[in-house]
Order: sequence, then structure tokens, then C-alpha cells
Amino acid sequence: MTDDLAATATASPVAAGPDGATRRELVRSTVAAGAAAAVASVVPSLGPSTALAAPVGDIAVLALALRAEQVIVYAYERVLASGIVASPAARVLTLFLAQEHEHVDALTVNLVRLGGAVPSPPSDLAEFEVELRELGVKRSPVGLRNERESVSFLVRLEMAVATVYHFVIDQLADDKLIQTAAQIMANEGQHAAVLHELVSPGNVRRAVPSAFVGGVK
Amino acid sequence: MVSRGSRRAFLRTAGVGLAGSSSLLITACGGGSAVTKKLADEESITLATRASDIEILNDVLDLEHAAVAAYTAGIPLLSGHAQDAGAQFLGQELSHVKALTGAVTGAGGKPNRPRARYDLGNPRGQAEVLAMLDATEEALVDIYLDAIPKLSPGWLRAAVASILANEAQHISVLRAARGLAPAPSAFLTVNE
Repeated sequence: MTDDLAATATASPVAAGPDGATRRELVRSTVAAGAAAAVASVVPSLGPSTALAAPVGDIAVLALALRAEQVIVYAYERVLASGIVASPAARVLTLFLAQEHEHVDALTVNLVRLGGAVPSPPSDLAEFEVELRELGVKRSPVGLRNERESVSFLVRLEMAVATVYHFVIDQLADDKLIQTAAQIMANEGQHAAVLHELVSPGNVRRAVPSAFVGGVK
Repeated sequence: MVSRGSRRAFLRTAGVGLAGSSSLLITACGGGSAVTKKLADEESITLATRASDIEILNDVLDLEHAAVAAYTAGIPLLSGHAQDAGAQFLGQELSHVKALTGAVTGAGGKPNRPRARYDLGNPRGQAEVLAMLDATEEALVDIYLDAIPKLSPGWLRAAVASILANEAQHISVLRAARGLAPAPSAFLTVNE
């Protein structure tokens, strides 16, 4: 991770992270591919008319990535706590949860260095489900009946988060942050492939179905 | 005109299409005028930037050609699930080549062609072929991680990152086939 990002804080057009009231709006807009305007709509210094011409600001973009990571952490924790998933799959999920925590930590450190406000993670199931829908994941973790359904749910969420990073990498200005986001996006892609393998062992066409991960189709 | 042509060419073949990005902008501001504005912004990219992007894209294209050669040579020495994976990944590497070639051409550059021959060592048997393919993928990851921040338009960085993530998936499958942890690090690095 970078040690000199604080120097870029003053260059950011965003003075502070968006407040909680705009969180759902942000995530929804990202997945709906209207994210640039949506982020700008919650950033006072950028009006919608300028959003398409200017970067939305590294602080707002990092906050968006952090929110997605918070959602996926909540999802892994909930699935693991349910007891539905047994070993060896549970060991894989535990490792991936730890890696998602590392993503959260890295994004938090950089967001704070830039002077941004760290968003709050989902506080309860209802808020989590709203966030899921806004990421484009329609399935709720409530009612997952078995290991296959639980892991498939996480695969969908991993791909949704990869799509968020596709937008994040498009919008970030700082080179080191871009590289870090790319490293994380690649890791999310790995998670999706490995989880797919748990659901459909030996079916590489399902595990790695596309030559391009996370783009808006 | 730098990015319009390259963007169309790249994204058309990448399947992350201009249509998708255009609808992104139309959704964002409710009309086609935003698309026009976005494209106008891309017009302002300097010639120096274009030359730099072409050079970077050609560098990664060189390695993608090498990956195609590695899979083409290695697949006959694989069997079962590993061979299926190799065939799947070869198809995806060819998609990357096509997309990158389109991007270079669209930016007004001349895409690098594959070499007449590649030194792939002398892998014997499945284990050595998998190791060779894994090393090839790691070299790709190395060059993509270096290249992505240097590319100028954000959409191009993102599109190339979507290739990087696919290479990372290849590494996971190859590592699993070698009996190694498929995703050992939260941050993809070449040292995995």
C-alpha cells in the first residue's frame, strides 16, 4: 500500500465522503452504470453537468469501493455464521473473508489519508438487503437452503463487486490507488472462480466463463 | 481522434461494449448529448498520450501473443480437466489479443504481430506444462499491473483491468491443478 497518499488529498475535488443518506443511491447507480453522475450528485463541488467531464474524485470513489467491500464482508460473515457451509468449503470462505477484510483495511487507510469519511458498514439485515439489491444481487441470504445456494449467492456478489471495481478503476486518478484497485479486482475475480469450482467441480467453463471480468455488459 | 476508435474497437471485441458505456452515460444524464460530450472529452487526449498508450498496449499484446503460443504448445501435453481448462484459457487469450489489437489499431497504431517462434523451454509432462503456463500468466499479471495505471483514458484502464482479472482467474485454476493454494493473497501480485 502507499505511504504518500496524503499529499494528494488537497488535489481531490471532494472535500468529504458522501453521507449515509446517499449511500444506496451511490451503489445503485454504479451497478446501473450511471455511477459517474450519481457520485457527482452527492459531491457538492461537482454538479451533474460536470460529472461527465471531470473525475468524480478519489475520495468518493474509494468510499464507493469500501462500501462494496463492507457488503461482501457482511455476506461472508452471515453465510459462515449460518452453519450451512461445511468444510472444505467453509475453509475457503473463511480465507476469502479474511482477504475481504484486508481489502476493507487497505481502502480505509487510504480513504482516511485522503481526508475522507469512512462509511458505516451495514448495521442489520434489512440494510444489507437493500445494499444487495443496489449491487444488482436480487437473491437474499435469507432462505438459502444449502451449501450450493449459499456459495452461488457469494459468486454473484463477488462478480457484482468486480463490476464496482471496473468503475472505480475508470474513475480513480492516483496511480497507486489504481494499481491497488486492480489488484483487489483481480482477487475478487479469483474468488468468483474458486467459489464456482466449489459449486461445479471440474467445470472450468462455469468457473472462468468470460475473457473479461467485471465490465458492464 | 484517439479514443473513439480505439474504444469502440477494444470494447466491441471485449464484450464490455461501447453500447454499454454509451447507455451508461445516457442513463446518467438522460440523453445522447452526454455521449457526445464524453467523446468530445476524449478528443482532447494529446498525441503524446496516444503514443504512450499504443506503446503500452503493444507491450502487453506481445505477451498475450506469447501466452497464445504457450497454450497452443502446451494443450496437447495436458489431459482431462487440465486440458479442458487449457482450451478454455487459450480461447480467452485469443479474445484478449483481438481486443488489444483493436485498441491499438483504433488509436492509430500498428499492432505488434506474434513472433515466428517463442522459447517456451522444454516442458515434459503435465506438471511441467502447468508450471510453464502458470509462469506465463504471472508474467502477464506483472505487465498488466504495471501498465494499467499508465494508460490514459479511464475506460481503457478499466477494460484492461477486466483482462487482468481474467488472467488472475487463470492463475487460480492453474495453481489448483498444481496442488497450490488458488488465491493465496488478497492483493494479486506476481509473487504468488
